[in-house]
Amino acid sequence: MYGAWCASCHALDGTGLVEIPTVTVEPMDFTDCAVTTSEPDADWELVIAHGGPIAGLSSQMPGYGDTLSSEQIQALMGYVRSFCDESGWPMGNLNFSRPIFTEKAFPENEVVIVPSVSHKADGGTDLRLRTVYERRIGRRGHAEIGIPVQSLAEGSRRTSGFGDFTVAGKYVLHTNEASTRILSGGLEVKFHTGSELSGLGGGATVFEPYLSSGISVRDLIIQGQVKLELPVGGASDELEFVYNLYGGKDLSGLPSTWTVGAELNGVSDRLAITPQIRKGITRTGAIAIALGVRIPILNRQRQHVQGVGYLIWEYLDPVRAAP
Amino acid sequence: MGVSRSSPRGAISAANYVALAIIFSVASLHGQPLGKIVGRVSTSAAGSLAPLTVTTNQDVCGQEVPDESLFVDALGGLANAVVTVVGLPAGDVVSPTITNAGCQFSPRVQLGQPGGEIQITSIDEVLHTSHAYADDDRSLFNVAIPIPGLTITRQLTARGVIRLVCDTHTWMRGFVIAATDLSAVTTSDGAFVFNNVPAGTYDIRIWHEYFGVSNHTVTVEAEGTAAVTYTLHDVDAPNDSY
Repeated sequence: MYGAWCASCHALDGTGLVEIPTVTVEPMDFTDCAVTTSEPDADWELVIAHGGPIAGLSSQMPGYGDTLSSEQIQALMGYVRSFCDESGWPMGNLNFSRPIFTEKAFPENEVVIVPSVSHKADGGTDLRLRTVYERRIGRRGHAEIGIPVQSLAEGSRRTSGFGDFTVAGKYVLHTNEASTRILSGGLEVKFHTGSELSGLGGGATVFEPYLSSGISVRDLIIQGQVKLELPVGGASDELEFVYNLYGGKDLSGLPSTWTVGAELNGVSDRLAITPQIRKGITRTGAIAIALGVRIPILNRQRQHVQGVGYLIWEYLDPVRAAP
Repeated sequence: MGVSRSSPRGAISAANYVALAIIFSVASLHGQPLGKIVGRVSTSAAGSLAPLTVTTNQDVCGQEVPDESLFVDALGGLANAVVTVVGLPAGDVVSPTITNAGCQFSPRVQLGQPGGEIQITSIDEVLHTSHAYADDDRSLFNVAIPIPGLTITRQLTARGVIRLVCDTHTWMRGFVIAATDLSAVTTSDGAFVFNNVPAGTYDIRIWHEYFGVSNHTVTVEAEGTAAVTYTLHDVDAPNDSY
């Protein structure tokens, strides 16, 4: 099938480089494992069946859904993915939708903007905006830099400025053969760049080793994270234990799908629940938005209700479809 | 947008269509004589273009294919022009079928209905894609037809000139004119006929892929036959808007 039908545009060797190009867009290079492995099966199946526009890709990719059975489409997808001849790349089926607090196990190329709004008992409102630049490194690695900006209310006063910058890295430790489970380990370091006096920073460098995992059970996605926060060099050396557990479901296989879910978010003896929704706001899913409310459950007096969410830009994916 | 001489296209309201349809029906029911338009579209342009070189799948498509964008007979009759009587409702239009045959779309030009269906098939032992674009270059659908004998149905979700291309054989062109007004495609000698036309003066719009859009008029007498010839001339920048 591939040689007879796909190769005229995508080339027999999968590179997309043909002697006499027919389409005016540049086909994907299937031998680039980052391209071939990073999206889930559902995206590939949709595009093969319905053509490029269903996922925001070029309309010059036609749909084969009237010709091929779903088994044939899966076989074709498997053949296309076999152009990646390197082992060790986690498959896109493990690239689960990002929860608001739980760190994803899958390595990503993203810019994430995370705002939060906290209404405090004294009537004040704290505003926080954290921007994270994430970059995939090789097959399984991932590095990121986080820059927080905050505006905090203290009585009638308001203090604004940078908080504590973060640098982090993670590595995919395990994926199973069926691509239903993933486990990653990482370390985040929070530097005390924010002013401790004005409450913008924690006053210590904090080392935060963590494990993140994701599991798909039928249509249900479960993601979890455990993390230790180890402050060094500050006034307080209190160790905190952070744990997040997310359950959610994509409502379709489209990259722009709605996702609904909820997280349990614990920090030592404090616990909250965060119901949330997520939606890709471009057909390619390259830009997505999530909104949720973090509601304290245990030790409520030491927590605030927070409006939370994020805006994600997967900067290597096309935002708009090619013609 | 193509503009008729006596009534702008935008002025043909739904009410006008209804009124004309009623007049048309009442005239038929009461045996009121209707007229006819018998016409021909001709051109002084050259009769044929150089064949197109086939760049792929020569085993199926051959080394070259005729350039069917301009087909003129020995007397100057122009095939594949779409003649429209502006303001007369199209009535029922048979769903078009387009066949990928010999690495060309056949027929090259045909009529359809906005919102209606089109059947797409192939007799070629090679992958074709049938990629439809609306007048504003919006992609409407793109279906792969990798095996002969397969028939795929799609909806015509635009009106006006719908252009079909094959992304794997870039010389292939087909056109479906999804018209709400009474229309006909000229035959190989440039002829067209409209029967049962109520008496009156009408704007005539002619679209051709090579010449673009031109506007004309015709007057139909009761029980009469309006014999008309419209001649299209080569222009540097044809008006393509239907």
